[in-house]
Amino acid sequence: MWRGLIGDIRTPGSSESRLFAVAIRFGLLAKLSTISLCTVLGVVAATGTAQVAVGLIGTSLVAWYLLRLRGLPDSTALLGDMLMAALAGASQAWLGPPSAVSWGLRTAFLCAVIAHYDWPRRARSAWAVSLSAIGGFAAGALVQTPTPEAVRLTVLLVIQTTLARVVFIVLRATARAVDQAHERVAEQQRQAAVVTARRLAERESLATLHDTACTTLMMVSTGAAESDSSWLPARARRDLEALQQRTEVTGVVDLADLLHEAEFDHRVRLDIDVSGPLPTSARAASAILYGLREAVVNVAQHAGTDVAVLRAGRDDDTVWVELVDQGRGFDPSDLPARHRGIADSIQGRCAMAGATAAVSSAPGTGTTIRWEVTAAGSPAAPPPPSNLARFIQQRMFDGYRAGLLCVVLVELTIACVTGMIGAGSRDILAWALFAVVGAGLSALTLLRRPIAGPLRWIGLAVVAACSVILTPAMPVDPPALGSHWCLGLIGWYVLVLLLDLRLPIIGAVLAAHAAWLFGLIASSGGGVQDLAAVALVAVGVTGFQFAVAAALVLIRQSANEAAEVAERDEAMRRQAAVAAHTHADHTRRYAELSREAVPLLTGLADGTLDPNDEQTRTRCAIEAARMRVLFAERDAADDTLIHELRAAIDVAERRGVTVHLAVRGKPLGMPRDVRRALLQAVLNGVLTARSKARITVLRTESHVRLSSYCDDAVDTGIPQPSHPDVDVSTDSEGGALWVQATWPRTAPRPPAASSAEAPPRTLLSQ
Amino acid sequence: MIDDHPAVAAGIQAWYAASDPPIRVVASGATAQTAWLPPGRDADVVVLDLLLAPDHPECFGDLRRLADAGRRVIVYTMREDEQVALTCLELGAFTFLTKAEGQQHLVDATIAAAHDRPYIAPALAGAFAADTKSHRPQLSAREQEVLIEWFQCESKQLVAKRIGITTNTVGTYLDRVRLKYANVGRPAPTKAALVVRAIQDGIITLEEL
Repeated sequence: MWRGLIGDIRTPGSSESRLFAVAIRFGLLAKLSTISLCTVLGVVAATGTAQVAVGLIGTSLVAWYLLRLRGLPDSTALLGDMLMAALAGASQAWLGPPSAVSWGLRTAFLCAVIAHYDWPRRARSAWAVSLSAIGGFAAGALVQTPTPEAVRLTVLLVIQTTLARVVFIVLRATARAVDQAHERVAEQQRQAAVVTARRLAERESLATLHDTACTTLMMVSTGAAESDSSWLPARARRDLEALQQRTEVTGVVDLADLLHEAEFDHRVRLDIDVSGPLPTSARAASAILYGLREAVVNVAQHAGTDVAVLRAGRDDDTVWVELVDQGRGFDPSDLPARHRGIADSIQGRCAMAGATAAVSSAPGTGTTIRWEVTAAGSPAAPPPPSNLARFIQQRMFDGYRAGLLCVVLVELTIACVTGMIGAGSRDILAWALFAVVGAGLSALTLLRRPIAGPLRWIGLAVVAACSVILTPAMPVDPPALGSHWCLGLIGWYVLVLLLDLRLPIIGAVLAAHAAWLFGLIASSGGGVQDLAAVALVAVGVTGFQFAVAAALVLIRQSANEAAEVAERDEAMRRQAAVAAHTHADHTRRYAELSREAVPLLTGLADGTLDPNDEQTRTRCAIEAARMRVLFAERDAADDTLIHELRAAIDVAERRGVTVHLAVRGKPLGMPRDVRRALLQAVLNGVLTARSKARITVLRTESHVRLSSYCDDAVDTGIPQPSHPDVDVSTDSEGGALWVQATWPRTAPRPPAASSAEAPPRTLLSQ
Repeated sequence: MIDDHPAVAAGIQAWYAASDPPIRVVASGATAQTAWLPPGRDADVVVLDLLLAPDHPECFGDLRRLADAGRRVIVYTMREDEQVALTCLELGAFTFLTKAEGQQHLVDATIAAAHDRPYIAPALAGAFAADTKSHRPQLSAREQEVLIEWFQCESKQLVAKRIGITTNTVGTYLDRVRLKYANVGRPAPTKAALVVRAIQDGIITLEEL
């Protein structure tokens, strides 16, 4: 609170900025309109020197604030504001005995109170202006006639100024709370966006890996280049390009062009029937194209035919592509999880890019795969309406109400202290009714319940009834009327009760209140000067209240704008966060590939590696198996380790190696990098086997051990993975290769000679 | 020899015929009756194919009855999991082999069984190594290590080289593990015979048990 009273320095959020901007605008416009009106009325109400003084000082004040509207440097503005505020207060020196209807008091009040909204960022400046006004008035009143009334009015000014400050702090705290709440939500959304984007990029890159490097390396490892390897360099180059590319595609492309230009598996003769243009998002186009390539490879490998038809076209807003073969066909529901070509490349990736892919096939009837995507440029669904604006509006509204209620309660207290001494029964009854309504409103606010429906109108009726009760007891002398306790209070009640209604309604009710005051003077035969004096009070008090209402409505309406700004900022931050993460991921993934896949593909592309060399083929098999383990990581399997191990064993078996897998013990949870290291170690072993291999998995409570043993290994020279918690050891004898990977590391084995445990007796007896 | 698959039976018969010393198959059949009726009643060793399928619920019962009658039973099965292996040994099976382990292990195990000597093939070593039962015998660190290495490698030379002991010592450690298992849980004549023979051979002393 004290920090708030003096002011502090921090970067305001979007709601807080909006509040400040509106406060400044409200401050200047409210001062200009109320002071100019008051001046006119003040001139009418005054005579002689007073008239001249009001006219001169009033005109200079209006001129100054007009100048301020055009913008001035802060230091000049502050100095001028202080001077003008002091002058407004000091005008009391020429205006006769201080009273509630004095122009000097009214303008000093406006300057002192509004300063806190005029200078929202600088509490010290606000206080400087307020105190200048109050000081000016006190000095003016002292010079004029130091009466108890002058002291009372000065004290009131101080209280009202402090109240204005408190209300400002409540508003600002609300705005900050809104900003913080929004920031928290945004932070969560940002994290979610990053997670989603990373997962999408990961999937996409794995799908790319599957279609490009993994397939090529698999082909080389199983001897697909034995008879003819002329296709290999181009394919390896294309794979390298695909791996280097960031998986981030934007913009619109013509899918028809791409289909004509694309290279497909050389083993299939494609009959292409494509009529363009087929505008699609580049993301969808690339997803379809990758899937299509994979599908053609599938035709070559599994369909038992070397002919397929590729058709593409457009129906209304839908672009479609079809690949039809008359081959063997298969039952799509009967595909092993390891054969993930269809699952990932064709359907999964399309889903990511907003396209669909449907596979229809049955044994003996051939296979049709159909892709569909909304054509680019077609009307997209409108974005969902933001609920941020509503959220800001609601929270800010609660804040305004709390602020206004503060005013009501303080005014009620002041009324009790100053108005109830020696008051008549009507006054006491009315005050009691006000107090009841005030208590009710406070309760509703504390309970965070809305003030709406019948409650609102009951409250208003009670306030109106108070006016009626008070009417016979109201003084008809303008200074006494102007300082009557109910004068400001009624207006504040109206504001609290009607705050969420439209401005004209609030204005009409406030006007009715002012009319009631006029009616009191007019019915008792007051002259023009009396009427002008009352009007001065009406403008200074009720008019000011109307300005407050207008400002609050303005802030409420600007919630949309605040929300928009907040969302735009947030979108940029989100984009930056996503970009940073996906870029880092891409770099990390590429670094992993650079160890083995990239050198292999580069060698195959430029011919420095012979695809029919046993060692090269073994290295290709190991890298393909490593990738298959990565693909298998995304499956939901009961026993992840064994599931991923089988993906690698599958590669060995495709190379004609008989693998015996023995598993002992129950599944044990372990970090992914540990699992990767364990698997990499054994697949570096098992894939070197020429004819058969034995893989064992032994899981005890304390350790997980993977081992591969084969007695006819190819020497690949591939280093074993190093992981701080995984112990990898390799033993070889003759052609046999035994790889053991243990997690966590075991203590180093003591040398046999110094072993604490005595060898069996039989050893000694032998 | 009890196996309901004639091809398997024929294959085993061929392996036995070629072994040194040769092993004679006195009777062969699909059910346990083969081992109870002559000429199978007089066989030194029973090779039992453990079929734990719903249509063969009696397998463990057959094994227990044969073991209780003092017959040396080698369980020879497709089953890989360690619980089955440990249960078979608990019931008194002489040893446990998986069909994937093949010719040499079966021949060696049969000869060992005929002489009441322990035999642990890698699959059984793995089951011992992964055993977490509360009544598991207390194994020394070295015994546990040999079990693990033997399960993983199936080359006694490499295991011996890796641990830094001789191939014979590897065998001795394995035998001792087998004897410790024979000495816990449910008593059976076959287990007693194993222990008696081991003490005679000097593999283990009475105090050690």
